[in-house]
Amino acid sequence: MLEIRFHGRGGQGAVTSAELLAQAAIKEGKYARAFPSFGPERRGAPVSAFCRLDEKPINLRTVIKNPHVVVVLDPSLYEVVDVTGGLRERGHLVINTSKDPRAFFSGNLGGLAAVNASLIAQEILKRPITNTVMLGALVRMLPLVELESLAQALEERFNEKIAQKNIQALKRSYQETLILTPEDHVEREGKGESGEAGDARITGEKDRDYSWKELPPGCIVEPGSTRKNLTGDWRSRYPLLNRERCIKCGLCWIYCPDASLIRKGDGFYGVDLNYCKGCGICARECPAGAILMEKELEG
Amino acid sequence: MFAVKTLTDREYLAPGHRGCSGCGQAVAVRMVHKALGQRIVVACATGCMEVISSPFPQSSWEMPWIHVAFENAAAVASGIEAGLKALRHKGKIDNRKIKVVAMAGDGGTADIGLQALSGALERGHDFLYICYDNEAYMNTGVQRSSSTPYGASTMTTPAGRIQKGQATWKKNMMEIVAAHHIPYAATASPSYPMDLLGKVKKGAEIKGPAYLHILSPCPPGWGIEAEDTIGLGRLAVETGAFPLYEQEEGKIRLSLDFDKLIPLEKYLKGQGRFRGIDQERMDYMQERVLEMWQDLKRKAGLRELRPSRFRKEGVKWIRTS
Ligand SMILES: Cc1ncc(C[n+]2csc(CCOP(=O)(O)OP(=O)(O)O)c2C)c(N)n1
Ligand code: SF4
Ligand code: SF4
Ligand code: SF4
Ligand SMILES: [Mg+2]
Repeated sequence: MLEIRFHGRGGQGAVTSAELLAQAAIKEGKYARAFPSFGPERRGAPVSAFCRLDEKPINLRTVIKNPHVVVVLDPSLYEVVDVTGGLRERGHLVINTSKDPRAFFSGNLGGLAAVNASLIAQEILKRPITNTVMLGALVRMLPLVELESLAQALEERFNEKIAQKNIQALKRSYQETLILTPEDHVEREGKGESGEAGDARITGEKDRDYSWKELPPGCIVEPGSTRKNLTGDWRSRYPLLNRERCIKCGLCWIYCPDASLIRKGDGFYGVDLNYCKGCGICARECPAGAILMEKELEG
Repeated sequence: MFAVKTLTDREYLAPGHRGCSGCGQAVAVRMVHKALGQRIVVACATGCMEVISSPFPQSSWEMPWIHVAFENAAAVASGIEAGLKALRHKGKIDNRKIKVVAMAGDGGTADIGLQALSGALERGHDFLYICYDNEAYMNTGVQRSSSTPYGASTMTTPAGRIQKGQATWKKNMMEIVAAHHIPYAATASPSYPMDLLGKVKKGAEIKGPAYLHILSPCPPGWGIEAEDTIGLGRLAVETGAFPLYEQEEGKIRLSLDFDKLIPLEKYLKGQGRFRGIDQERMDYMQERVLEMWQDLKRKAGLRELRPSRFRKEGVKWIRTS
């Protein structure tokens, strides 16, 4: 039995990924089971989904703690979730990144597939929904199912227009995926390019279970500590402020849901890209037309 | 009172919270707490604002804030208020004012939390209750509440071939609250920040129970784009679907009066949750909204409107005088 865990953010379709993969496998006469982890699936909040594939019926319905493969739909998740937690020795990792994938390779991986899924999704689907794109990268590295079966599963699930766009995204990602194997890694390690970057990945706070003994009395935690959670990487657009037009009314500042406009000493405002989620409210509400939403290039 | 330029730069709802991009409720909460400041204690019912702001071991809050169950924000706030009184009595804390605030969603207010709220209002605790109304159970994935508007599609009132979304009219919390004869209640919207801030301040300063009902547009739940939340909140007010008014000592005062209302259709058409609503239902809703608007004006003692003189001007405006 092969166990795959998907990590995404609510709204990116991690659950759909797992289901599509299962449907494609079932089409090929295999057995499969897919299900989400239950939690608040808020647009943008971390979610995970699971898929098991086998040649014989599967009765296991528990969450996957030791996956063979981990698929990460969103580059910002490394900071908040221990995505590779429990990944088996020589397991495979599929990531969405615009950066050099070598930085994500660590010694005990069996293989790494990397694709700039956010970019492909934005260009083809016009939305940062990376689920089908990631499936393209997954089957490029591990031919678990045929691309054609995935396309069929998409056609059954979505209407004609959406299905075709997704199939296009799937195929493009299949083409553009970069694969790294331990051999590549060893070679480069010799040149001293890896190592530290590989460790940089596992920083930040872990999404782990706390035992009751670790909970502070009354659960009083540090005020304002969500500031450690940089929501800027949920963004697919960013606001560009034009000082020449700005009349310093402050409406952008008061309407921002994420307190991401900062009042400067000279009365103008600047954007805090650490937290701005790119909602576009500021641009929409600015009475002077001084804010433009620009497409985010770096994922 | 308030002006954008004189508002504090302090953020009491710190960024990094997990609210959806463009969350109208987060905008409202941010504003509310700029008006309330730090000398408060908040009891927050389970719902979106709790879940997005307090994933252990983090918290977005920069003042005393307690997460309570889905149903008991008003009960916990009552307890805190009584507790503070007792501590003052015993001389354990000084006499400076600490405002007690309860916050909950529409589900936590109009449905499961209603009896706790009613009890607290009736007992007359000195606290401010704020309902952030996004018109459904958003935290658990958009199920209907009694505050969901007629015709809105939710997971539990899906729009289909025969039934088009919610079949009942939105519960009128302001009237329920008014029946408790509390000193102050008001509706507000983050699309009108200065009005909202003024009402929060008033609600916090008044001695005794005060109630604020804030319409909080929700992109995933309403089927709208993130950037449209503020604009839609404004349309809700300008169409008369969500009038801004205050109930003070038994008197009703409209915060914003219009002599023209924008046709309701314009508000509904912008939202996925009303997709597929038919003309018959649309007309019914329009009629009822106008009726309620008139009723409100009558109670506010403003010049009554004559329905016979409603007139459509193109598709844009309905004249009301
Ligand atoms: C007694 C109880 N029943 C059900 C739940 C699950 N639950 C958590 S939040 C929620 C809905 C919240 O809706 P609302 O109060 O409108 O707040 P919103 O999330 O929309 O802001 C539900 C049903 C719960 N926490 N407790
Ligand atoms: S785009 Fe949205 S989150 Fe970013 S600064 Fe503007 S209002 Fe704030
Ligand atoms: S809303 Fe526009 S004009 Fe007003 S302060 Fe912001 S950028 Fe300047
Ligand atoms: S579901 Fe709606 S209310 Fe909840 S965080 Fe998202 S936008 Fe805000
Ligand atoms: Mg709600």
